[in-house]
Amino acid sequence: MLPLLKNEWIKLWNKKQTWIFAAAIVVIMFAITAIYYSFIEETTVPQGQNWEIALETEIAEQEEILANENEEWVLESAEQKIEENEALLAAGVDPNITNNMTFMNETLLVAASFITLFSVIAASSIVSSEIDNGTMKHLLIRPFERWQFLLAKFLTVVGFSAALFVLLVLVNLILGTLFFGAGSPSTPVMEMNFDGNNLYTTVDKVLPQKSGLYFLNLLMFIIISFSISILFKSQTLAVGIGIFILFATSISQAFTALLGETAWYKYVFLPHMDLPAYVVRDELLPGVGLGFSVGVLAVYALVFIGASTVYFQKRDLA
Amino acid sequence: MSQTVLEINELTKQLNRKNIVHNASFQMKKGEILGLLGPNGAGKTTTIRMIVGLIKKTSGKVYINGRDLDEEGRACKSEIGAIVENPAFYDHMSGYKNLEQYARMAKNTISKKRVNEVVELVKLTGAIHDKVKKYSLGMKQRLGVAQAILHEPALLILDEPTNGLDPKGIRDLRDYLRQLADNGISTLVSSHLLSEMQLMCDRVVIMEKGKIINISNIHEEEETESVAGQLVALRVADNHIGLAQEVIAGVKEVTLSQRENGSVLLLKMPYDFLPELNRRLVQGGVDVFGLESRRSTLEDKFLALTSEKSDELQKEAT
Repeated sequence: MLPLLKNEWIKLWNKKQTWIFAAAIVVIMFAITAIYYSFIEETTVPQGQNWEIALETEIAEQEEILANENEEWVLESAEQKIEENEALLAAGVDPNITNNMTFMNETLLVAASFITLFSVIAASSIVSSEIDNGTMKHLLIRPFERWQFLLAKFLTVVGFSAALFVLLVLVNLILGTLFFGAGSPSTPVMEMNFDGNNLYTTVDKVLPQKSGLYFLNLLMFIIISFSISILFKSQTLAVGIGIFILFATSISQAFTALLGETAWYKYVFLPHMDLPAYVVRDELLPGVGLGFSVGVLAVYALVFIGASTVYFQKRDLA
Repeated sequence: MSQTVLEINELTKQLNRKNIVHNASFQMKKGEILGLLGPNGAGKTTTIRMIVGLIKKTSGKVYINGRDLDEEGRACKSEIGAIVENPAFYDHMSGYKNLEQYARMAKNTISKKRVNEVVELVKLTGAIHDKVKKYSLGMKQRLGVAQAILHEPALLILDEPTNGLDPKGIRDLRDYLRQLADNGISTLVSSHLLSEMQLMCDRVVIMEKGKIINISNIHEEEETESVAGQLVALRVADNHIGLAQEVIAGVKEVTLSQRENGSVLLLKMPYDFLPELNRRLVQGGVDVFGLESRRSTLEDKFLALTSEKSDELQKEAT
């Protein structure tokens, strides 16, 4: 089994595409840093001012509005602002502080969606390309079981994704430190929640959680595109479906709002492809928590892996 | 006692209730070169792919060195080296790196020395570190042979190895195979090029429409021919055909086989009788333009066999 893994790993890094993906991650991270940097420049309050005083001043301003205005939406927004600022004060979170840790917390998963994209492409092509150019025949006549080749290829894609992720973290850390200075991993941060209370936490608590959940989703993306490329013998279809799911996931909240009431919706895998959202909320739908989501994904994963392996074990390579 | 390297027993492949290969059985001895012959679509490739495990057989048995392929698949496969159709490689890697890939998959460790030895044997030493995409078809074919014999298999299987090779390449391949056979390696080679097979093989198995219709030993046949009946072509003047036929009818050693285009008669007779026949023809007043022995080719045999078949079919139909 080990020789197969080694072979796959060597083949992977002998492809130009692999190096282009790695380079793209670096370039993308530079771009995100540049955008983030210009954005921060514009909005940051003048340095030297005490952030707690600034928040309190804002609360006072909003209270004045509360007293004088009577239009409902203005009042509501003022109340919300006061509530938020008080929570920030109570949790000790400076909303304007920017260092390499807060930078990583806010940008890591944005850049990581490109890793998902590249992993989908790698997973879709690693089996089908060898079938297309005829080298698969020369693998399957070797003294190994067919599933061992699949396993080696699958693990190689997972390893590739992990390598890209490590690369991303390193580049992110370097750029963040260069542009925003080194900060403590326990820098307090706020995580926005659109339909519930915001979460007040620290980077070292929340970022590993988000990353772990992201990786579970990434694994799911790899499994789906890998399996589809085997079952439908089509690299194009597998890449297409993978990218479709990627986009559909980003608008899955809209689907959830529309279809959340139906009995079957929670058994579809799509709404569970945004696991990092569980960092700020306990339930996606009433009764649908992290455990349920992971369970649904696990069932899908087993079905996909099972079907593609059985098919690959039995198929004739003509 | 010569050892049986490969035995296939009533091998059958059904697809959509159609027999692609039907009850194919034959054996191969150690150091033998066996040709699998037949027109396109006769089931040669399917038979070969069932032996190497690329296609699942519907029924029947394959034994390699006495081991059952179904029960000891991995042990069997490590005894086989194969080129299935066009030799396919990882084009973006060097020939050497490609060989390393296959070396790692062998059951026994393959030393660098062995790899270099094989590279030298197939005369690729100068180009082995170039990328495979720069190789000519002949070089790829040789690299194909290299990967197939790298792990010192007992049985070499080549599917249509002469496809796309120039005459020199074909001749080189023939020499390699003979060299390997002298070292005790058996080769099963499939082709539809009859003349090639006659030069290359010890025995041929002729397949048609999924069935084995004949197994014959090439060298034995050549010997028996020279004693009992050699095919001789007699060319006479156009207006002497009838006269020649009369003379021949009077000689009991000679039988008229068939009349070829116009003035050529095909005769069957002992080789030693040629001068005597010539004398009699001249005495009989026949102008002889040519008298030459014709070795019956595999092509003649093949056509005879297949036309017998179609005759039978026609009889059945009426």
